[in-house]
Order: sequence, then structure tokens, then C-alpha cells
Amino acid sequence: MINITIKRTLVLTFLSASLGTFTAQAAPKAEVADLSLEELMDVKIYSVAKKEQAMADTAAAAFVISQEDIRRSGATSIPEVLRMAPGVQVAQINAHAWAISIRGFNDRFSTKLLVMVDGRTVYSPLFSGTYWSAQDAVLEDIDRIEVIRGPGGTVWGANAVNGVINIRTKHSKKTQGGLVSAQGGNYQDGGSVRYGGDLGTDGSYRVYAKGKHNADYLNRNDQNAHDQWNTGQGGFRADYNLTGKDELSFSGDILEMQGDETVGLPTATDTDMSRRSANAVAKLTHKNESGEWYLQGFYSTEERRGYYINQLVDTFDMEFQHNLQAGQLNAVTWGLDYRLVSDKLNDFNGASFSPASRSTQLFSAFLQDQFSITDDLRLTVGSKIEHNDYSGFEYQPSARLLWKLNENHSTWTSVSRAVHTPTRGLQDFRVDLYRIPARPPVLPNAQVGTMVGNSGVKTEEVTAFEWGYRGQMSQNFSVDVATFYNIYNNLLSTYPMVVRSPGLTQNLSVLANGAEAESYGTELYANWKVTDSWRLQPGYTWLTVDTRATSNADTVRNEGSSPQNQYSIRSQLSLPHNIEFDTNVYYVDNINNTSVKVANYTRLDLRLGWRPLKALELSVAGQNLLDDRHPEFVATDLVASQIPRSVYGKAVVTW
Amino acid sequence: MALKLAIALFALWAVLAGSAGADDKDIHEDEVKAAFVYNFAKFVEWPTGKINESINLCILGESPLGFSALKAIDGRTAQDKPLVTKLLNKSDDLKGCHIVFVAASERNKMAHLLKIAHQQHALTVSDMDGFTQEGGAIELVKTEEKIRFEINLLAAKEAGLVISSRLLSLALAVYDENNRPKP
Repeated sequence: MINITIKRTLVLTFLSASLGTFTAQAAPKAEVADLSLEELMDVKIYSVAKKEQAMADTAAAAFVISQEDIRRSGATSIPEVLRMAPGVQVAQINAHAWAISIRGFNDRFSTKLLVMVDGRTVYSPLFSGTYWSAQDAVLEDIDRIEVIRGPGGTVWGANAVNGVINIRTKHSKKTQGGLVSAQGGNYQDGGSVRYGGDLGTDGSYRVYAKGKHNADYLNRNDQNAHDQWNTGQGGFRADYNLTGKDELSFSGDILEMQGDETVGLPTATDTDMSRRSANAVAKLTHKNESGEWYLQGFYSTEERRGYYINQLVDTFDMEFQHNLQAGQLNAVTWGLDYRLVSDKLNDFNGASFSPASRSTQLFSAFLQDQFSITDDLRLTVGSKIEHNDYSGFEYQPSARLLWKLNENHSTWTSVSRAVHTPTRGLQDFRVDLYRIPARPPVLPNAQVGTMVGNSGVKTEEVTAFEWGYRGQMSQNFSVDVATFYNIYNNLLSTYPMVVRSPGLTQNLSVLANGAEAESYGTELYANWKVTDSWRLQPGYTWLTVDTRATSNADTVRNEGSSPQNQYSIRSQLSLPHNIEFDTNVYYVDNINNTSVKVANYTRLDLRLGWRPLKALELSVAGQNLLDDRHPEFVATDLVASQIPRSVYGKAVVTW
Repeated sequence: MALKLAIALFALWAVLAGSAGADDKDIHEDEVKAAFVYNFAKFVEWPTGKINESINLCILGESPLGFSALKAIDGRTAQDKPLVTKLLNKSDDLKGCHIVFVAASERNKMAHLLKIAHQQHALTVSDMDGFTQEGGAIELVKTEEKIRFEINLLAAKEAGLVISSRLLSLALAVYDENNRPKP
């Protein structure tokens, strides 16, 4: 094995006077290009996608789920895939709803996690969170899922308080030819078709369609939970290389979903729900030796019909981002964004928005500079400034320092601020929590309990301190550790207000910012290539969230329904005759607070795959194999189901 | 308690696994490929008078090798001439190019492109699958964990290039009149 020390150029760097002047040392140099042909032929290579490599080099807690990881997880949906990412809390509520968060505050609408698909935000501007059942794709067409733990407000903007999940689909050049997959099991059946080809000499495209059906689960009383659902979606992506340096990409998707759910307020009620959504994205990317810029515009529309609200939300967004090398030492990234969100909301069953229709605008700009103090020490500072119609100006600065101890070890630290800005759901919404009819003379007035939004609700903010370490102990073993301490201010709370009118008493819970919190935790994972055909990935997440009201009148609204300990171990074993045996074990601690009580559970997912021909892959997978069913979460507005053991078989044909 | 135990286990793991081969270090595929390209420049003979001040390496298309890896060999010397790397717009012609690195994005224009490159006496190199079979001169091939290369002597001859016996002896495959590539 040839030992390579990458050349360090002699850099004279002037730090501020307080730090003094440093002269970096010139290390013994031996570059790859100095090797002879014979030596080169003997060099063992690794190939990580460029973006992954770039992420491993960032001063942030980042985890990349690759296509291979997705395929071998045996998961059938994006939320299920996310279970493997350390520091992410994934809890399924019913057949089509998930609570997913990073670093605590988990809920059906996790307000502090920003989710994007190919750079397009899918964070709901109404309820501050993500409708996970609407986020799907042909899993084989996903290139990777980037999971960033910790604040990402400086680049990504508001609501990236505790993390960012970016789902990236493959370039259409990488999905040439056909793919048909079919899957059937005791709870879920589905299939997808994709075809990709050339567009003239400089372009490529793909089109796809996907459908699936999920059967009813059982609720916590072992009765039918009425949460079956069907979904169908289709879409395309086309990329056209204009000049070799400029590329134009278009994509679009439509989705239709119909299903049942049992809403929780004011009383448990079985009801229908449906959703239709569509989006169209155009992106122009320019690359040259000194940098890269892109201009992206998207339009998305979503119509959701349910028990409380029929919502129609249109989003238009235009974004520009430019990365450039400024001199030897500075890499600058800056960007501008404009977003227009319009909604139309019809009220039902004690829930309402006032006004019923609203358009809001968001303007934002950010600037970030990555400064190489020495070859091994990199400082990244920047801030986003944005203006939104709910809370006015917001700024989200961060400073990050990465120190490459040597080729194989690096450590980083950061301090950053991020915000969760108010949304329609927090300022303009009201929903009845309970209704008690009058019973004179004992109860002369009817009682109604109502949660009401408040136009005075402010921004929730976090100041986060993070530290991390990444080490490649050998070519077969690496570890990643990240730890954090977060201070939250102006967290949401409710305070009581009683309004009496003849015959009616209204007990209002008014939204306010009367809570604060501290959280701390550690995420630890390793990647161990035991042999050429066996990979083991253990992970551990430890989290503590301490939330309190800042006054006696306030009640903390969200206590952070996340488990304190999560362990996982993933094993990917490649056997002879193109057989793969993959195991995922997850232990999730109990959740026990005033609103959510869930017992701890251990989950076992297995997958057995066989590729008898290059063009055919067969697999059998079982999820949640250790018990018949168990609950994973409790939500306030939705009656939770128990998540059952499920087994399915899948065939994928490609040509 | 659970945390301490987990940390202890990880630490033990890290030490055990780490001791297995602490000095081993893989190198990124792109760097190795770029180093091969540099080595090719040393072992190819261009027609007399074709090389003046420098050996020009032209990169065509959206290079999966990335500009950084190929740029890193810029300025190195081969046959006493500095290597100059240059990114081409597709509208540019190949005049003055001595080595043309063809990115996989150019697959559809291969026939036309190879014809021009060979007229210019340029050595065509690529890491796209089946490059030598489609008439390119040298293809970088990824085997399990290493990079090797194949040579199409017919293509080199068409470009008027002489490839050193040393390069030929190390190639994974050499195609010539007796062993024609199968498209």
C-alpha cells in the first residue's frame, strides 16, 4: 500500500493581531501524480459522490443516505428510509402520517425541521411541518438524501431550526432505460414504472408513474383504525446541456391521494381525506472554472380536503445562488430568494382560519464566506437576512470552524442562530378542542374549549453550539460524533382566557411565546467494513430536552416528544450468487410527557435480495418483525394507530 | 449509564478496527485517473513539430473527473514540456489539443468528435464505458478498487501517435488489427 501525504503548500496567513502570525509548515510532499504507472495501478481508490465528499468536509453534522442504502434498507417510503439517519426521530402515527424531527420537538408537524426535494421546499406554510405521505418518489430514482442536523438557517432560511432534510433525485442521464417494479405484501401493494431516454444529442429525460395502496391498521384498542390510503403519482425530469457549461433542467410531479383517517378533536371521528398536488420546477445551472451559479423557479400547488379544513395552497418561488472562489483563500456563496404563498381555506367542524384567504411574501438574501486560515483550518461565517409578512425581518447568522487534524481526522465546531417564523396556523387558526352541551341548572352554559391563534405570535429562536469529530481510523472503519447544546427562546405556549356570553362559556387557549428550553445531546455512528462483503453501521442518539414556561399563566405547548435514547445497528451482507442479506435493528426509548406516552420498542427490519440476472432483482423484506404491532407516537389532532408487522415481496426489472 | 457504555463500546471498536491498518489510505478515484492522464502524456510520441511550448490537455464536456482533479496536474512537466489544462466549450474546436479528455456527457457526439480529434493528432482519453470499443484511444477502466486502462492502437495510429511499449505492456487490453475491438 502506498502511503500518500497530500501536498501542503506554503501559505502565509495573517490572522488578527490577537492571534499573531502563523506560517504553515511545508510537509514532505508526494502527490498521486508523482507515482509511476505501476504504482498507480496498485493504488486502491474510493469513490464517493462529490456532494457526499463535500459534505464530509463541512463543519456541520451531516449524514448522507445513498441510493445503495435506500435499496438495501428494504424501506418502501421516504419516511421509513429516514430511520437509518442518526439523530433523526422517526415515529409513524398511522398508515399515512409520520412524526419526524431532528434533535427533539417531534410532532406530526415538526415545526423545526425543513424538508426539501431537489431544493424545492415542501414545508407546509399553513401548519409548519411536512405532510410526509405526499413526499414520495420512485425510490430507485433517488440519488441521495442529505440529512443535516443542527441549524441550517444561514443558507436555507427560516424553519431549518434543528435540521434540514434534502431529498435529491438522480440526473436524468443516470436513469436511462426502463424500470418496472412491483411489490405486494400483507399491508402494502404497489408498483412503479420509469423510462428514460435521450432528447436529441445534448439532452435526456425520464418519465415515471407510481401507485400504492396501504391497508387499514389497528388502533390502540385493537379495532380497525380506518387509515387505509391509496396514492398515485407521476412526473418527469428533463435535463438539457446548452453549452457544456450551462444546463437547463425541468421537472414536474402530480400526486393524488385518497384515504381515511380518524381525527382526534373535538371527539374521535372517522373521516375521509384526500390530497392533490402538483409542482413544476425550472433550473438553469452554469458552471465554469471559477464557480457555479443557478437560477431556479418553481410553482407548487396543493389541495387537501379533510375533516377540518379544505386547503388550497399555491407557492411560487424564485431563487438564485452563486458559489465563487474569491482569491486563493475565500470561497463565497451568496443567494437571493423570493417566495409568494397564497391560500384559500374553507372551514368545517369547529376549525377556521381568519382571514380565509391570504397571500404572503418572503424576501431573503444570504452571504457566506469560507475562509482558509491555513490549509487545515477553515472558518465559515455568514448570515441570512429575510423579511416575511408575519414577523418582519429575521437574521440567521452562523460561524463554523473546521480543523483537519490530518488526512483522516477532522474536528469542527459552530455557533449559530436559527428561527422558526410564525405561520398561518399559528396566527390565524382556531380549532375547538372540546364541546360540552349546557345542562341547567348544574351547567347553565355550554362549554367550548378552543385553541386560538394569535397575530402577536412571534418567532421562535434557537442559539446552537455544536462540536463534532470525524475519523477514518482505517480504510475499513470510520466514526462520526456530533454533540450540541441548544438554547431556545420564545417557544410556543398557550395561556387561558375565558369569554362568557349568555348560554356559552368559551375556554380559550391562546397561542403565545411563553416558553423556553434547553436541549443537549450526542449522535454517534460508525461505518465498519468488516470484510469486502459485510458492512456494519452502528449508531446511537442521546437527547435531552428541558422545556419550561416563562410565566405561571403559560402552558408549554410542545414538550419535545422525542425519545431520550435511540440505538440502531445496520448490517449489509453480500453473499455469493448475488444474494444480499440486510438487517436493521432499532431501539427507541419510551416517550413520557403530558401529551405523549409511548412505551419503548425494538424494531427489526430484514431484507433478503437476489439478483439472478443483471436486469432482475427480487427481494423479500419484513418490517417491524419482533411483535404483532405497537404504537410509535400519539398526536393531538389524529388518533394514532399501532404499527404492525409487515412483510412484502418485490421485483425490479431494468433494461 | 447507557451513554457511557455506548461510548466505551465505540471507543473499543474504534481502537480494534483502527489498529487493523492505521496507515492504509485510499485515494479518490478522480485523483488517480488524473494521475494516469499525466502519465500518458509521458509515454506518447506525437508527430514531429506537433508539440511546441506545451502539451495541451483539453477537457471536453461536463467532466465527471471534475475540474479540480485534472487542474491539479496542470503545470507538471512531461517530455520536458509543461502540461496545460484547458476546458473547452463544445463550440470550440480541438486545434492545439494534444490530449483530449472526453467526458461521458459527450457520448452521443463521439464519432464526429473522435474524427476531429484524430485529425488534430490528439490522444483521446476517457473514463466512459466502452470508449476504446467506440474508437477512442485510451479508456480508463475501474476494476474492483483500482484503476486500469485499455488501449486501442488503431485509434492511436489514426491520430498518428506512437504509444510506448511500456504503456502497452501495462494495459489491461490492447486492440489492434489482430484483435479488433468489438463494438
